[in-house]
Amino acid sequence: MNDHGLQPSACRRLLANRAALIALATILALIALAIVGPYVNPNRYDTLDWANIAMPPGLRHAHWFGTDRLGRDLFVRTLQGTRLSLAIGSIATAVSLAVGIVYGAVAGFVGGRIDHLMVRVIEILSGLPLIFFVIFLTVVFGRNIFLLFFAIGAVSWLNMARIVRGQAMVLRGREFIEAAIAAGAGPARIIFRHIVPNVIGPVIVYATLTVPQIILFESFLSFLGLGVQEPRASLGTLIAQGAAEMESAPWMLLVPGAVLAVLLISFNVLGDALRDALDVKRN
Amino acid sequence: MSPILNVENLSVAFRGGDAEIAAVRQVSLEVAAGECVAVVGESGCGKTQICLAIMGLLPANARVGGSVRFDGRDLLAAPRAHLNAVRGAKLAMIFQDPQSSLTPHLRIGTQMAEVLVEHRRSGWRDAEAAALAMLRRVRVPDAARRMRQYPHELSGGMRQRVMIGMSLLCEPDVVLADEPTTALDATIQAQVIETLREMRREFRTSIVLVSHDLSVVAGLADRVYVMYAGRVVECASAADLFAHPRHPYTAALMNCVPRISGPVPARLETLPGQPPNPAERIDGCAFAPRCAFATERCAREAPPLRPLEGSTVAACHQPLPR
Repeated sequence: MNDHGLQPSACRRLLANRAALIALATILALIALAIVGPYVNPNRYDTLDWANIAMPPGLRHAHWFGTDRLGRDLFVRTLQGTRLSLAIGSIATAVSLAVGIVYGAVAGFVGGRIDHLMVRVIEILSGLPLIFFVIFLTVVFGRNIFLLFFAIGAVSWLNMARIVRGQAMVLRGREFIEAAIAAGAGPARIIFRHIVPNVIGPVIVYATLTVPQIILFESFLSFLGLGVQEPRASLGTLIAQGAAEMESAPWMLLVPGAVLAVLLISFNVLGDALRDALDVKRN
Repeated sequence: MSPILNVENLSVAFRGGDAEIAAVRQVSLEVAAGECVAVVGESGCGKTQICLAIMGLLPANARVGGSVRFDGRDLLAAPRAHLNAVRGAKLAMIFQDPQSSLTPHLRIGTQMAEVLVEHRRSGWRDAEAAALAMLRRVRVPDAARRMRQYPHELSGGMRQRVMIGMSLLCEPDVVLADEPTTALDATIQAQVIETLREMRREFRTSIVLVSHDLSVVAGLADRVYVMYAGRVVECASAADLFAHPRHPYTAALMNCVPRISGPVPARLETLPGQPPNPAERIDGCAFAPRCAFATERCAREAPPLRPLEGSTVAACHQPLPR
């Protein structure tokens, strides 16, 4: 009985968009590479190759993308970093989806004083300077990757909740919601059966645009040294290390930087294409 | 016979800025089991608000007074759990615009079956079988295929029949039909009214038909309430009302209906003037400013509803002669 999800026509429109297809293929390829890549290369992300320190990229030797200052293989480290960045991006997005949709739909549908209160909570949380919040958490709890998930998840649902609330408020006044109430459906059923599936369009679009935001934010935190810790790498830490060697060994910056750029652009292109494909009014 | 639905002194008012807008003023109406009662009047006279008040669908800024007794219980005072158990099961509503009252992302079969799953705790398979049978009964052609379609794939008349079928799924005691044919074109209107008539015969359901269209009412109703400016101005059996309208407003309404037979008038009659502003206090008869027979007394003193000959009850100081 699961009939919501993408309408076939929206799928068709999305597949007709060449840029979207390329973006989707790139994302899938990067995901696949991030998962299997480290195993097809003999190097590991934390092994040090003392004989080949700061080696430039080349396909004839074992280190395809070169090595860093400690002789660690950049190909494997970049893929491992991509994997971590993608994981943080998708987990935090999933958290923001779950929390944001429920919170927003309840606030928008119930309305009145409860809505007022719920919106104030969103406003307070989004008024919090995130960087100080993360620094504060790291100081109190120490550096921990789960803390990073938590900190990013705690703020990324706010915009999602706002979007869903706005949509839910529009839907609440629609006749089919009244008809559902008149047919005896309780609030929970109205929210999850009649409102949430109808906001899925803007939510998918926004989720696609949230993933790169979170990846970028994680990179930023890692760049500042607040995120992922050695010997693990994320795209952000790799870029931070590369930036320090920019003049002598530019590949250390260019390789992870290029991967991050391609990933972000692909997600944004896909998000835009989804928005166009789901926009019924254009057809 | 004791009425199954008994609305007493119902008032609905809305807070709008600093003024309070009275949409329904002290309306009483009753519906007996199996009876079809019509509520007619022009736009804004409070017909729809009565339906919404009965169903408990009024927005938060509405103030409701009086009582709505259904099946021996006052719905206005009942907790939401009771309302949810009654709504859709014993008391159903058909909305004006079938275009927008079906949830767009659910298949017809799914939305219909859900009503049964919710109220009867039926299994999905049984509920879908019952929904299919109901679609056939309300004469939706190719019902099995319609079950799998989405609302936007159906025509307006078809959707309204789906709505009617959905409202009847739990065999309710009363169905409120709020302008069920207004959003449809004329040929489809006739079919939908025919469906309603058949359904009434078949299920012995009481119908509260809200309409501004006297021809719809004439074909279906046993008894008619005529409303003006939030009040009932006349109530009579359909036969009495159409043969002998006693309130000048009722008579004026009927004059506004174009006729096919008889001499062709130079112009279609219209009712001059506007209904009163619902935010204003009305001292006398609300219809007096537009009434051809109004006297000085009409402007000063509000006429109470009083029984006249036959089944008629009217609120007028000088009812028209029979």
